[in-house]
Amino acid sequence: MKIIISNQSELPIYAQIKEQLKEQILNGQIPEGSTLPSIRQLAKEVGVSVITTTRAYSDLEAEGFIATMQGKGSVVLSKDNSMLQEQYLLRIEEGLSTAIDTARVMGLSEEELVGIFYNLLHETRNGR
Amino acid sequence: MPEEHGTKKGMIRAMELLEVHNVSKHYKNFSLENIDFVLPKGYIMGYVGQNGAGKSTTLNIITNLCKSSVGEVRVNGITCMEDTVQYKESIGYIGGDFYYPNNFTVRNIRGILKNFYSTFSVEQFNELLHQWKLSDKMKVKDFSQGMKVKLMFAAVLARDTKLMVLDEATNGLDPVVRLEILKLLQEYIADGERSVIFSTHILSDLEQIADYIFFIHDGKKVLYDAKDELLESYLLVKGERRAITPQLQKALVGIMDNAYGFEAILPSDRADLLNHDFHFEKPTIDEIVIHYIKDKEKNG
Amino acid sequence: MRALHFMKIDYVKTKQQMIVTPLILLLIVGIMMAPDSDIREYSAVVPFSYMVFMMIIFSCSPFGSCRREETGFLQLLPATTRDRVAGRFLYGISLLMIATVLGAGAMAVFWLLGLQSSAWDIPLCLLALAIGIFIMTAEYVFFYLFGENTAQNLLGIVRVLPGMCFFFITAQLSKEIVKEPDKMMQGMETVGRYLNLIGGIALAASLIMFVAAIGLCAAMTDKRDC
Repeated sequence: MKIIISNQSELPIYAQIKEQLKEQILNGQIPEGSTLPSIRQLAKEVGVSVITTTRAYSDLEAEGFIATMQGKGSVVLSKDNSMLQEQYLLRIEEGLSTAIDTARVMGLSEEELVGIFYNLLHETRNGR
Repeated sequence: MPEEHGTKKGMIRAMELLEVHNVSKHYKNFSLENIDFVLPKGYIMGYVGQNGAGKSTTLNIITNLCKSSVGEVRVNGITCMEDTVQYKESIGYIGGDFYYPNNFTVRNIRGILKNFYSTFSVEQFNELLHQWKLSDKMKVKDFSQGMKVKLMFAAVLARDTKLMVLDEATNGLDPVVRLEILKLLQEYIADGERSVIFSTHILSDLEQIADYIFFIHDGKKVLYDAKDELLESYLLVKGERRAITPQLQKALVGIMDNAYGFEAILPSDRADLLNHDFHFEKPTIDEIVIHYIKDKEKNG
Repeated sequence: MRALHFMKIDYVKTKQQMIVTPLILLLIVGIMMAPDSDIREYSAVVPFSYMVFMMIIFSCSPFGSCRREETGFLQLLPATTRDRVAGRFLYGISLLMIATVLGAGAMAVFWLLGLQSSAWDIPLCLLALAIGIFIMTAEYVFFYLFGENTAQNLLGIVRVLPGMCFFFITAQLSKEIVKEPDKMMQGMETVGRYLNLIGGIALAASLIMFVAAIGLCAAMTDKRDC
């Protein structure tokens, strides 16, 4: 687990922590079922306020990434819980919407866009 | 975002360690007026303001070094009147000015602390001294500023206190010692049972660890909120002076001009007043404070 | 108990002068016993009263090392104002106790050497001690009246003057007694008869005043603001 706080970032610090944890949970660097450091522990390690880390954790909890149990700390939830599924779907939709928007801007037809999509799908499958 | 609001409210309602209720104090040419805030267990508050704004007066009232004309202060639920000894035992004070008599040695000070504080641990004190390389036999007047601050810290950390009060304690310290102190403060509150209030006229590195900010100007409260909340409530706006619309002019706080444009802060909920002519970014607490002071100067 | 701890702090603060005390006493006794001294004119009360006089001056010292920041440290200690003030008063009276012991020692030396002595020595000493307590208490009240922090500016004047007066009066008095015992005896016959009583009453009165002053000074300090 790694967290880098940047003062130059436009994101508030709690959001930086949240996004970085989210990223690492989604790409599996923080495995499901593992326990995150406590709110106070994390605040101390990263050198930020307790309220900041509290907020990052409560956001992650609200979005279904972790569950905080009294006295046991915060545990990373399994990837197939429904809230997390939703998060994954949301991410996919976001990525695709960006692609669609860009395609519209350059005047690409829908067929062409779908074509690119299938091509990429094919390529990555072969790549693996 | 309603959930976040909910969590914050919940936190404020948690057990308060320090309660300052309607405290006022009047001097010939300065008044502290109606200072009112709470600090929950396990959090750090930055008490910010210019020199002479009333920071030390407030902290002195909390430590009972001076008395308020009106109002009440509770530490861990009790007032100083109710139980002077317990009240003072629960507070650890670290001042910007060194407060031990100059001809005292560390040994003298240890003796006094041991005599007076029921929870003082000689072993812990010695261990801290050893760790920070403070010699037993030296007279404290021969200490450097950093050593003096560390000695005061050792005196506080070697006993069981609930509230640490720091009055401009990191002024004039080099960045390495400052960083060490930040870590000490975070460690101090790590178990969630103890709190810290520190005063300063410049936040810089202290800003990151503060949970709450109380900004005082000319003896009166200007801002008081959770730091993250404050930081999100304002935008730092830059642009050309002539691009300011009358509406925006009203909403901007503490407009400061330079040769090529202006800089001001704007409540985030008025961001709709901004157009492409302006550049905006997230402010630091210091920037919010500076523009508020500017605003107060202009508008009395 | 806390008052005693505060007293200890005052001793630590003023430890230099404590080293000097016995040396000064030896010096006085030495001068008085020197072959060419006019020792016959003085009584054994002199070294005693001199010790009291010196301790009156010394008893003010803790007020002198009261920088604003330093009193902060003492005020932060977990104790009441009363404890703190009482500690200072205990410091003062303990100095006078030391003066009594040392002065009595010096007197004993005088007697053993067969030098001047009279039946009035002991009541005079009691009287001297009573006056010493009285002056010290008055000075302390004066200091607390102006506040512990401002006191040091007045220290120079306050601490020397009354002690000085006290010393000259007692020294002069004892000199007169030795010089013209008959006349003095006549003039003070009535007083002399009751001197034992007067000394005792004065001491008791000064002690009562001393105790009352602690309460008074604590109340004044509590009331005053920084």
